Amino acid sequence: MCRLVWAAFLFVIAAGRAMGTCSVSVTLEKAAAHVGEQVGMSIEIVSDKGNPPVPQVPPVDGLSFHLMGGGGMSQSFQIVNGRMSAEYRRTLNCIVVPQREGSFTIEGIRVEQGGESAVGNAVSLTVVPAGAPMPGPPSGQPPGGVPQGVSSGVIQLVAQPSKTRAYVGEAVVIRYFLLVPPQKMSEVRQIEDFGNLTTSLFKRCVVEELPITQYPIESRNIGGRAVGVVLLKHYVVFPLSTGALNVDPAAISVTVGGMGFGVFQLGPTQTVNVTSQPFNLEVIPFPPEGRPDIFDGAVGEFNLTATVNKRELREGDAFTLRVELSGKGNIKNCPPPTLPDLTPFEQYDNTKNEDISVLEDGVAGRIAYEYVLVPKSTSSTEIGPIRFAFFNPNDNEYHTLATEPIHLQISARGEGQSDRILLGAGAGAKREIILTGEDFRHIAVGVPGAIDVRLDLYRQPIFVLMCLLPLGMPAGAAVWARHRRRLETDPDYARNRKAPKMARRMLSEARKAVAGGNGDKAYAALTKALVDYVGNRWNLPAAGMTVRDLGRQMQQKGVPDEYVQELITTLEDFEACRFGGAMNSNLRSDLQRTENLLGKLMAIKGETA
Amino acid sequence: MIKRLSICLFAAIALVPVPAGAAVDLPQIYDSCSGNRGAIFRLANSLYEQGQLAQAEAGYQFLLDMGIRNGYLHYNLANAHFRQGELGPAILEYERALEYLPRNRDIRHNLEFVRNLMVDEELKPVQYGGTMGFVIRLNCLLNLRENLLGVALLLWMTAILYAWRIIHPDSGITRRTGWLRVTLLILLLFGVLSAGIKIYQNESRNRAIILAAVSEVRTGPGENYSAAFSLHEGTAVKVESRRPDWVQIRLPNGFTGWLPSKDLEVI
Repeated sequence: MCRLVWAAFLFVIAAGRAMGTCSVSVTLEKAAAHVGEQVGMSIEIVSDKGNPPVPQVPPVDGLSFHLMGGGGMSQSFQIVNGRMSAEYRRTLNCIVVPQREGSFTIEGIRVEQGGESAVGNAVSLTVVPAGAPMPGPPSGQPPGGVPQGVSSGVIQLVAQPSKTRAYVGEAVVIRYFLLVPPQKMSEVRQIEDFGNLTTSLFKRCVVEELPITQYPIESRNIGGRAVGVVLLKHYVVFPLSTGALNVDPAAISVTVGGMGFGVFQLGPTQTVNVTSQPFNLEVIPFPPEGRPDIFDGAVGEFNLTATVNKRELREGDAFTLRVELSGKGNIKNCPPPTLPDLTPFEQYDNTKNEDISVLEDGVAGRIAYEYVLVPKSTSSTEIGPIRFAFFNPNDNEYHTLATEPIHLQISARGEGQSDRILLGAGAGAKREIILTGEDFRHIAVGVPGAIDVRLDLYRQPIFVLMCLLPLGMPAGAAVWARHRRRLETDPDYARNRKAPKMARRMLSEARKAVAGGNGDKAYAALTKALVDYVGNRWNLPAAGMTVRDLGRQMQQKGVPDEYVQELITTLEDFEACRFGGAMNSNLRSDLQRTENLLGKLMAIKGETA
Repeated sequence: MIKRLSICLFAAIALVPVPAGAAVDLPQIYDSCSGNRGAIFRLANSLYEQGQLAQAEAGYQFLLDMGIRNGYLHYNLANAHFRQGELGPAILEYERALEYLPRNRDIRHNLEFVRNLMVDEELKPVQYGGTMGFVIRLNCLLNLRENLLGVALLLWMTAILYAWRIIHPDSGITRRTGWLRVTLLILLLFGVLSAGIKIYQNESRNRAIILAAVSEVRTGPGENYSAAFSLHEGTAVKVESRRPDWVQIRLPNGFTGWLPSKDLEVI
């Protein structure tokens, strides 16, 4: 639903409408018409005694009347000083068709309701023969020609075609005006229901709409009467086929009365349904005389230009032919210009760029067609005239446009020159890369196609191992971190861990001493290796203890007696050797004896401390 | 023994139809008997470029029979098939080549080119958009080997970072690489998932290409069953189940039926 809200005045000026029992007003769409032309007539009946009856239009010799079904009913209520009054309104639309020429007067329409009667105003219609010029417009008619016949007290929707006879494809401007009597100009609140406005137009026409963003009321003096005129719709239509094009009435709803707008609206309002008059557009065919062969329905006034982006090129070079059509008319639906024979050129996809706008009196703009061409040989040196034919309805004649031939200088391509792209600096203008052929691609050459590439790595044990190893890494790190922490915080643990290392170091020194034949030093090293190992391993204060005390401490730590006894015996023997005179002949056997004993002690499992 | 016979057969095929001036170097082929696979590949390429397509195809096939698995080999073989007018085998080999070289544009281009010549309209599986589509496209960027190697690399990187974090919980490197650990972990999870899907597909081997010019799909595994619809060469199908000499297939649009197993080949 199309909803138009527009402001007229900020304050409602109370209309001094005389509240008669019943009133009738009649409005003719126009004061003059051709024989057979349809003229719209609006009849509005206002009553305070209930819904007004449908009136009878008095017969007029020479005129035929056709009542339309688009009339509307509305009612409004008003409370003044505690007394409620009601107003009922009926609006009827009628088509008047003159049968012959002459001046006709439609007498006042009589309405009877509740025992009372009312007579409407008389209206006049001047009928001239078909094709004869119409009487001049009355002074004060707004630009564009708002129809005459405005009656007081009636809101009207008027369709205003720029012409009633047009060629196929010729632009016809159709505008819809809302005519508002002066006393109601301030009361119009809202206009809606424009949905069916162009239903009949769209069926057989190309319709372009000029957007209207503001709806100002212009006060005009039409036929000696002041009237508010609002332009609601502005169309430019292009008929598509010949014959009579009957444009149906457009219907809108106008809300009048009250004060303020929207949610701030106060006071009683009423909705008036108004319809435009139907009209007939006669679409005529093109004249057969002088019709060019290439004419394909372009109507208007056009210009044609053709240019190329370069005239000097080498065989195989691409260039762009640009054909620009500009002008005013049905340019949007124009066929493209007729190209000359382009077989000497390879032709690629063309592009089309439009810059078209809707104007008040038509549609104008330009369309640029661009063709990418490649000369097939050096002999193709000319692009012939490009032609375009159109019909100009202003002078009722056909016109044919033709561009000048375009001469090209095409040189043969030299040996070793690239096909499409020039490489290297100094190539000058850059060239477009054009895909001239599409085929499946070549085999892979020069790639290691014979190297075995196994996808199923997961079947290979080394890969599985490679994936499993990192999974254990955090666990190993946790163990290592715990070991490091204990070394730093637990002296017993630290001594225990370093015991074998220290023992091996002393054994190494002992071996050197044995090799050097230094018995004293050798026995000292062997003794230290054993005592330090035992002290570190079982966390005993070995320094300063006698051999017997050390043995007892070891027994308390749970070391088997046999090892303790062997240790005591060994240490006592070494002591005897050191202080009783070293016997170098026993050095090697004592070294072996120490190694064996350390091996036994190291083999004791568990923490016995 | 079989390999040697194949090589000699290939040499014979390659030699006989070659026109004058384009003689094949027979000793080079025999040299390849000792394992010069690159020479055979180059020779097959040369035959292809000379238009000896059947001989080139035999050369590529010979390398495949030797157990060589390589995307370019499948691609060249597919080209040789296509230029001989064999759409079904060409599509089959292009699909195989894509498993090795999923990002190769030439393969995709030629596959699309050949598919346009198929009789049956290509029935594409459900196309996902948004995040799901992005993930699926990402998953298709790598082949199974690259995916697995990527997973292994991510495993090592993630394990090293977490091990470092365990050993040095308060170090600056640990603090600065928190986002990296999370990112690697997410990538690793995605990689494992992706690799798992690909391994499943690799093991199930349920995609096949119709090789017969026309194949009648029947409602049951036998000639006595009525024909449900027909398929033409190059059409991709999913193998649902197998019987001796018959396979049950399903199309992306849900059509299902039975085909003689000789009419198709698993990718």
